[in-house]
Amino acid sequence: MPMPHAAASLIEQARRHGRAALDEPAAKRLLAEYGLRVPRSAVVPGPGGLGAALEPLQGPLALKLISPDVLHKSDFGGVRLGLRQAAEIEAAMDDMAARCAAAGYRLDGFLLEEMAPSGYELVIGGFRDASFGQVIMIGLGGVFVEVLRDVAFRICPITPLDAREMLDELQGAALWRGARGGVRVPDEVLADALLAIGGENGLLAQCADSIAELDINPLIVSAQGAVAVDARVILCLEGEQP
Amino acid sequence: MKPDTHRAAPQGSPPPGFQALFRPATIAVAGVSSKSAGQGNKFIQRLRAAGYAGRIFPIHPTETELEGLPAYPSLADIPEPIDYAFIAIPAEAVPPLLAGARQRVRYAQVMSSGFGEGGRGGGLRDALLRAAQEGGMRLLGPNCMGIYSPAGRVTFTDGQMGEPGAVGVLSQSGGLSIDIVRGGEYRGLRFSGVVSLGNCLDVDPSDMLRHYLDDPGTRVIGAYIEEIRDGRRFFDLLRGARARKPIVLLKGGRTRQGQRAAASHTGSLASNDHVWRALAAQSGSVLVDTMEEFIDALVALEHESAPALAFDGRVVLFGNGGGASVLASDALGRAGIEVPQLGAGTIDALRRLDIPAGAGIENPLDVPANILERDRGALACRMLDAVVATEQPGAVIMHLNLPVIAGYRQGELLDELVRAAIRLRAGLPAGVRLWLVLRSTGQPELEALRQTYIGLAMRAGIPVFLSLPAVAQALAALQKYSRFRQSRTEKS
Repeated sequence: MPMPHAAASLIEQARRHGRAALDEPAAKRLLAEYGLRVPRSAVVPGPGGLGAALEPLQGPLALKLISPDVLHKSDFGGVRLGLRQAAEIEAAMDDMAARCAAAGYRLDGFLLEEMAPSGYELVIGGFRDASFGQVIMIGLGGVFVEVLRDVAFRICPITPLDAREMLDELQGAALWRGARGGVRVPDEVLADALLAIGGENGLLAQCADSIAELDINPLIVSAQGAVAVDARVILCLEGEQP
Repeated sequence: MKPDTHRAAPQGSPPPGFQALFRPATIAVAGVSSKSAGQGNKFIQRLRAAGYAGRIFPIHPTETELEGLPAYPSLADIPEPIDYAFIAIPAEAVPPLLAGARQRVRYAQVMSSGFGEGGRGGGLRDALLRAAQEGGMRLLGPNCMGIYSPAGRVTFTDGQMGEPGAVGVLSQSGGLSIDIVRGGEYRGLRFSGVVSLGNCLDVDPSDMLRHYLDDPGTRVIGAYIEEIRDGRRFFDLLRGARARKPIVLLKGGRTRQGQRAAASHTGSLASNDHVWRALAAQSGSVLVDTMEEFIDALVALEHESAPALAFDGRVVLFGNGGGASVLASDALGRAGIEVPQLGAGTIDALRRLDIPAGAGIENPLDVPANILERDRGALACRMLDAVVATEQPGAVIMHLNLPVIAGYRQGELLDELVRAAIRLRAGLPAGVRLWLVLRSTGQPELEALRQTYIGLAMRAGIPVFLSLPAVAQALAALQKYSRFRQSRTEKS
């Protein structure tokens, strides 16, 4: 299964720059190539470059640092939420840029994003197992996924039935299925996202030799659909491909 | 691992049928000594004790007669083509022996170790592979026990060999393959084959899985796996089979912590256990945690292959021992198995049977031994007939507490009840199973009785278990298997 051209060039570009991972904007473009919804966004080089980038975006906005040296953005203070005014955005950028410089980290720019509607926080992930190849995971809890460990795994590619059975395995499925009067989200929303990533023509199958690890965390799921709010794609080392 | 060294068979050769391995007409044996102490001597003695009917050819560099048979200096010197070569000589002598086979040996089983286990002997390992290729054979092992084939009368264990049957097993542990044969036969399993695969330099779990899937004589497949290099092939085979034969997997090393350096949440959460559970869910295989569960699942599933009959998870529990019935209901409940209340029609039918006070007429049916004894077991039969007719449960679990039952009429009651179960089974409607539990407290005379009736019932197609909790787990395995078959045969 060949990679679509756009996906191949995103990966190729990161490799050319000696990067072990796609940065967040590239990772999200990759997800969007496979039909996953990502927030409307703009990449700005730095304070002062804001200008027209703000215009098409609907506030409130999230501002995220783009740096290959910062693995955990929120721990570093590289994420600010609920911003509306150009002035507060610029001030936040100034602050992040200054801390980046002080720490000696590279600064690739900033990602400005519309904020996703609130909903259930899930994780869809993947990794390449040395023996079985690509494996997909879905889990509950967003950043708390490691605490809750409510997760289901399948070997790729998955079928629509596999996707539904993964959802059935999660204790937390009761939440989006409307337990205690919560907002109901049809299983199809999640199953479609799983198939986009782990299905026969999904991301993991088509980029099987390039992707070592994948986190879409959180994937926010609401009646409006599923939105990939953060994404990390770790590439296989070159020469490590089978 | 380099793909070009994976398979010894030349490219484009026909798919290897393993029939000759399980029923070899000719066997060569290297590792036979004139002092009668070698592994090869033992192997020949076992073949003779098992009644092996083919021809045996000892190999020795200098001797001309061993174990009363003419010996030959090399594989190529043997006057006939060899189906199966048993090799138990020092590691460094193995490659030259195999390389000189001149395409006259189909399978070579290398018992010797010293080919890269524990990080030593890697050079010899490569030499062994090259030698098998040059000699033109498929290679089993190295470091393996070989095959156990009741139909072919070839064995790696001492003691009496069992009858041939329909249970096919592959194992990546030699020691556990002996446990599987011994423990399995104690439980009444009859094997189409048990293969100890050792280091899997050439013949690997996928090869044997494919053989058992294709083998019309195998109805249920068991596998003990430690490490699969080509997991993808194994998975694709399993998934493609859609569980048309039940497959029970015992996977060792699942709790080992992930070796991958994880940069993601997903990577840090993922374990070998997750991947194997995924494989089981996607292929309808039954993944178990212990040897006991492995054998229980094989016992339970042997008669569940095509055509798939649904199991609705409802059981009727019938037997002696009130407390045992209560605990059994709990165990079944925890395993997700239902012990439903009997319908009004069933209760009426039971009332008409004039059952003496002391026996409940609710599910679980707790029937004390003195009532089981009525009419030499005939009342018990009528009760079960009545219950099956109206309830149509997925399974009837008949449990007998041997220390009590065996005390009636010098064991006659036990005999009558087991034979009644066999008769009942013969007339059961499709989709209603009858499983038997023979509980014992371990005294040797009870164990001997139990062994006899396990054999009798299993030969009549009744799965027999040793405890009620074991039945609960086996029913849960059956339910998983049945659900998978139902979900995958309808569509998708």
